Amino acid sequence: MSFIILIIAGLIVPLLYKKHITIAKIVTAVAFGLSALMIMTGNDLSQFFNYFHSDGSVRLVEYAILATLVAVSVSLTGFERPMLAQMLFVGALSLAILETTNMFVFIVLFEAIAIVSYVLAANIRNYYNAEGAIKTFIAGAVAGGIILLGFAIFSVITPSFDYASMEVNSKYALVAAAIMLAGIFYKLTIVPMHGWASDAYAQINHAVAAILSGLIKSVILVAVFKAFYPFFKSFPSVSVVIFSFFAIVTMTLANFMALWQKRVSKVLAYSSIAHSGYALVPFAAVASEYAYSGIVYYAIAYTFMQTSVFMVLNGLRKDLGIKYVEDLKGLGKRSPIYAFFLTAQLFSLAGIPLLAGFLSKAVAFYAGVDAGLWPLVLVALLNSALAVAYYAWLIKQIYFDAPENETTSDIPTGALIGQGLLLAGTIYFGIVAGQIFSVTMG
Amino acid sequence: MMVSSALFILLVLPFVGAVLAYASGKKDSKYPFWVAEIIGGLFFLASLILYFSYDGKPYDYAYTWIAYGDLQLPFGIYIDHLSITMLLIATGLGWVDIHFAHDYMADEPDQGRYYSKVLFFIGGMILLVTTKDLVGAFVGWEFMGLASYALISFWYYKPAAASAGMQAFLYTRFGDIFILAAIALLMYYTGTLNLVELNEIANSGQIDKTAGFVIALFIFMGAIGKSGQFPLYPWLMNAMEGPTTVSALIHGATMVNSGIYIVARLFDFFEYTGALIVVANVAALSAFIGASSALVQKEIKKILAYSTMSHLSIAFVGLGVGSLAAGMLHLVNHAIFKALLFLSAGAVIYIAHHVKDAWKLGGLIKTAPFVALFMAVGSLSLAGVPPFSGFFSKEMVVVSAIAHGEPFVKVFATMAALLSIAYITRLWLLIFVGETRNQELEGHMHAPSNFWMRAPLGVLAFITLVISIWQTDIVHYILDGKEEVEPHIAGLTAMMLAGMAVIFSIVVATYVKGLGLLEKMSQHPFMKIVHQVLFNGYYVERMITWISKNIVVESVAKSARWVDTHVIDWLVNATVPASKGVHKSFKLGHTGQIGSYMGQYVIGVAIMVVMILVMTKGL
Amino acid sequence: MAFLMIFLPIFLSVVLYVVTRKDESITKYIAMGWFGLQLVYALILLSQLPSSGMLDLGTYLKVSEFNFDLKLQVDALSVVMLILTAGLLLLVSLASWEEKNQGAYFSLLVLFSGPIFGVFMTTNVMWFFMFWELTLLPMLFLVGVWGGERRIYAAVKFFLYTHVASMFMLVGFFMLYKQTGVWDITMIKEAAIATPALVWWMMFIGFAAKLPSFPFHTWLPDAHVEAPSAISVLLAGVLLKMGAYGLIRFTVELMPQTTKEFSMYMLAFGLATTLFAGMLAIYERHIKKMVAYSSISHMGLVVVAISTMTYDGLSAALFEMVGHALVISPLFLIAGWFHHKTHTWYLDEMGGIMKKAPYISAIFILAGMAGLGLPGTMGFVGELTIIVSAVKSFGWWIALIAVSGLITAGYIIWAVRRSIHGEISPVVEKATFDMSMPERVGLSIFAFLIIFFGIYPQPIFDLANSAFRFLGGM
Repeated sequence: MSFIILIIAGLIVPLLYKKHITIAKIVTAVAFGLSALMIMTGNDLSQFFNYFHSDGSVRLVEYAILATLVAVSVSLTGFERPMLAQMLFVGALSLAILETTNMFVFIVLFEAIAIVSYVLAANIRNYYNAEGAIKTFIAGAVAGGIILLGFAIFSVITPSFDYASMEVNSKYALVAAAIMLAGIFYKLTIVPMHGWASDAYAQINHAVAAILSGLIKSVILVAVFKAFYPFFKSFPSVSVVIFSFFAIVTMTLANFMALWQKRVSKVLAYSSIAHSGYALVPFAAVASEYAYSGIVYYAIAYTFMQTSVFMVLNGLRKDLGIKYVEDLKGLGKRSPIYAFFLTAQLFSLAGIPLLAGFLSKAVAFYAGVDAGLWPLVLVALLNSALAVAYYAWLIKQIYFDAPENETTSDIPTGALIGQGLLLAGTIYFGIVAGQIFSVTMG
Repeated sequence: MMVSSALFILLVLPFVGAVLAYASGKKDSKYPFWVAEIIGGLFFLASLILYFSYDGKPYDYAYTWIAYGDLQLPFGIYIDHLSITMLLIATGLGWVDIHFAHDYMADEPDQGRYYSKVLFFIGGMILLVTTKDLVGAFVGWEFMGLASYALISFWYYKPAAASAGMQAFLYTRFGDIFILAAIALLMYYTGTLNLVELNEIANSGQIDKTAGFVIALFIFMGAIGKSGQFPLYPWLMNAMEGPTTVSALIHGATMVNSGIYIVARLFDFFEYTGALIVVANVAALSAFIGASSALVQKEIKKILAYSTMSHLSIAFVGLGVGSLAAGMLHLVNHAIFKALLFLSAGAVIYIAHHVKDAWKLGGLIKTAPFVALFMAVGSLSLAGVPPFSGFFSKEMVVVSAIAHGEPFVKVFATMAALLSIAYITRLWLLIFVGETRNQELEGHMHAPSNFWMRAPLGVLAFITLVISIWQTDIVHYILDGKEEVEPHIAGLTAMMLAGMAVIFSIVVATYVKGLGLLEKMSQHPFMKIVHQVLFNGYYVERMITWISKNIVVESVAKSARWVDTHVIDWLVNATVPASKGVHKSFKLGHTGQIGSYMGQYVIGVAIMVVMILVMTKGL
Repeated sequence: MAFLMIFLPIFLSVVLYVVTRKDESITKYIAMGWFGLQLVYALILLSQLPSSGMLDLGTYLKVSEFNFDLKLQVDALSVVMLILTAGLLLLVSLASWEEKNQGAYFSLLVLFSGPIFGVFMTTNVMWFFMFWELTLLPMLFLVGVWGGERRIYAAVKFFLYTHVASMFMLVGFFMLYKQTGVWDITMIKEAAIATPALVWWMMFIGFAAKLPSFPFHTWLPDAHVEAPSAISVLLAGVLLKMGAYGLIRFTVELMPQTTKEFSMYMLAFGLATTLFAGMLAIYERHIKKMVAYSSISHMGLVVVAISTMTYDGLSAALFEMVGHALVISPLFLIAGWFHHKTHTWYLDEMGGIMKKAPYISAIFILAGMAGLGLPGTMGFVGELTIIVSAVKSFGWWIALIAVSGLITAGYIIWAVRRSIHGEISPVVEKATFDMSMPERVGLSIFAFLIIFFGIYPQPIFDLANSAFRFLGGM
């Protein structure tokens, strides 16, 4: 139900852009609010369609998603207003894919999300954006083909598409699932399916990058875990090897690539790719009962922090024209509030405690140790420490260096509210771990 | 009541007094002296009280200083005859020294700093001789070391003084480390640090001989440092950079005796473990080095410093050959006549406007007859001429050495004993006799005042003569019931006196009449070499400096630094270029061409599928 | 209350920074007020301590599925650390009286005071780790913004190095939880486990980098040289103690059997640290670097004491931890002050400072004497108790550690000879050696404490004894 409200709102809002932008905003707000209400009251369409089912953990993730979307919408200004409708659609599809329990629906929704991604990426203002949009599209197209190939094979083998009653024990099912996963990995920017993202995330509009690299990735993480969990369960040793391999490759490559980048957006792009690598650790750790908690925690934390950093970068680019790392020099003095938000979320990405980034990694990596994979966890943690180097480098520019030009900027109210909301989420989940555990393991 | 007041005065007042002296110096530069004079007098009074109130049993108070874990480190008080003897010497000479300093240090602006450090020093000495345990002894030992450092480098803005202070501290610290190790070893092997108990343990054979030997040697190492024995003696000579009153008190009469005291205190322990032999041999060597080097020195105080070294060695020899009586008696006598000699030298320096080189003086007997007289008394005592006190104790040591000692000890100790008369006569003659070599001083000399300078000298001279009467009583007092074997060698005294007379005549002849002959002799190349060796203290100082500079600093420390910078830290810093290299190689795969990206993609898919097929063993 | 002590300063610091933008000078008073409050709180805890066991301060943020509650409990060891921390924060504030950008500076200090209390107050392993890591953050800024020329290099090196080491520690912690199912130290203790060697070494690496032990020590000299003197005090006085505290809590108290197996390794690390760092100090001309090496050398002694795994050894270790903080702080402060006034770091370029600044020079000499173990100072008590314990546990050969007293004497006395004694050098001639009253007061307090506890050390030992009584009879 909740996502239907959002779809309807998404269809209405574009009509109001030209003349009644305020009404458009109100409609958006109401839509988000209503859908949150729907989630809270447990109205999840399970009586109509057997394909959607939500439980406590799903609800919590949905709240986080909605909060993030609200935060982003509130921060949109000027030429970005058309994105309001796109936010609504993203929200709708995210909620749906989180709640689904059917592989066919999952694939459809996945493709839908991919299309929405192309639309988002198509917010083009300059040549750079255009290049990013094309890369997104082409990668998505290729991936789409591969996913459908896998799905085709799978549909031959399995009697039913429901998660609970899929065919998971045969080898062919595994191969099919692997091909599907390979396709899905493009969205999750796992190496070597990440090439497009390393350029595109940096090239497209930063607010779009925020959604793509932050929110959508989190959503897909949880949805994929839920969808493919039965496969991992029946072939534990294979999944351990595959995911360990891809996890290590992804995080290592991304972290080293991030180290000497000149553009801030590129650093953040590779950081996002590295985080996908870390996210694969709970995938490898399916033997542990903490794996699901790890993924959920990771997704919630990640959506807050990654969305936030790109939104800040968006604001900085609009107001101060910041593109390169050197442009950040002295930001602490030039735009203290923006700098504060950026620093806080960078710390969260780096894994500083009391912020969600740390606890999410802790739980996710603990699942790894619990499954007996401590070498993998050690590599992941060392990578995480390596990442601190480039985050610290950014922070050094912001606070330790003198500004090169004296332009200052104040944060607009919308962005302030949005960032505040995101930071609140980061801090809350950094301190209160009980919330997540009670819904995933209670 | 009297006793507890006396104890309070002795143990607490030094430190309180030091603070008072320093503080009062800020108000008016006259006050510190009086603070010190009064307190110094109180010390001596307290020692006398203890002496007279002694009723057969030692004053014995136990106290646990640190209780940690299941261990307890004690810090008690134990005062017996040996302690009281040392107390009387320390406080008595300390008071005399303070008194003398009134005039000697009158020109010094920093009076507060001086007197407070002197009082602190006396406190340290008192602590050393009154404690029950090795920990307390070590604390007193180190306090004295600190005071010595502070007083040698009293004129810290003079590079020579500052360096001398540093040298003194480091040389003695080298020895002190061994005592610290000995404390730990004693706790391990015997579980006790009580000095009296240690002797009893030794007597009853309850300690492993080898362990005990090592421990005794370690303690003796500390004694070597503090008492200026071979090879840790060079600091003593350079310590003469400090004020002469400091040299008199610390480096002539009290601190340097600590080494002898600690060996005497642990005498049974040393005897049982067989460490006394080492003591005797080291001491004999040091005695000879000291005496022979003193023969050729130019500076008054350096001659006295080498002489101190030599005589301390003689006392050690006494102990080393098994005669506690001989060693301690010589300590007592030496303290008195050495203080007298140093203070006389101070008077001379004061008179001659701080000229320290004996060759630049001469003929002072006309200007300062009393000083000359008192210094002569001191010299005779040092030389071992009866009826002065020095004769008795030196004879006792030589007799014991010849009776009980090994050949090496016998020969070198006797030679050192005989040489004393040579160098001290030379010194006296150079200062007082003949023509005034320094023309500028003629007519400009300072006359020393009666009360402040001449009186102390006179008192000390008197004592060094009169104390000869009570030599056996002193021995009995110190030994306090322990048995003593007094060897007797027929005709030894006569032989020694004859030898001394011969040497005396040679020296007098050379220095009064035959300076020209001396000149000619010293031109001979062999004599030149001998002279150089003796003048530079057998080059021990050079060797130690060379080792510390080139081996410790330039080799060991430098290579540690090299390893640290070029290996350990290099590894840390190398992570930066290494990661840049990795980055560059990864970058090759990111061309920005979507086509190549997709190619990588497909390869990735293929890898995944292949891996799965391999792992599930084919289709 | 305990919860507030930890979390309030974290949020208070941001508020403080914002509120004092207009008038920065009141920040230090507010900060000192807060630290004073913390000190009072720590002293109250001291008075409430039971004679053995821990004092329970409450459980917060319960997470039953993951056993992740923030459990706060203290014993004598924690309370000593808390008092030391709060006291040093106050003294650091005094020493930073003239620092620039006071608003940000003191806010960061307040931010630091929260997690450091957390480290010492919690018995939950995971929260311990979180607070441990969080303390790095304000230090990064304090060194990186207020430091010397190479401050960025030093700050990043310090942050990354200890962070990487902590990652090993985290894996060790994870494995510990997996094995025991509990995150709380007191409960794990009761399980009396024999842990696999791997876990022990993982944790040891984390603590070794913090202590710092050879060969993980190279971050410290750079960090100290570039940090402002007051921050050096905080680094050396508090952060290094975190490493020792962790070592005691986790290896000795938690895994005694495994630690006993590896005690010789720990001893080797400790000895190597003491002697190697001492040698490095001898060769050093840079005054602050020399003091940094001295600091490392003394922490080596602490490791030696801990490795004895005995009641007396650990009591001696705790005393030396406190002693080291009190002794090394004035050395850092004065070394930095010398540089500030003469504009040179090198000992051979200075000379004769005593003539122009007698009181401060005297305190430097006093602290130096304490460092080399002169009786009458805390340094002697520490060295004496450690060497006696070490010989008692390991045998006669360890008495060689007495040589560290000689090595320290070597570089301290030489440093005094070069910079304080001797003729006045040109740079000293030009300089004016004035020091503000608060800074003077701070130094005097250090000097007083060094002598007071050097003469009457038993109060600290009583506390130490009650913390380690359970080891009695081992």
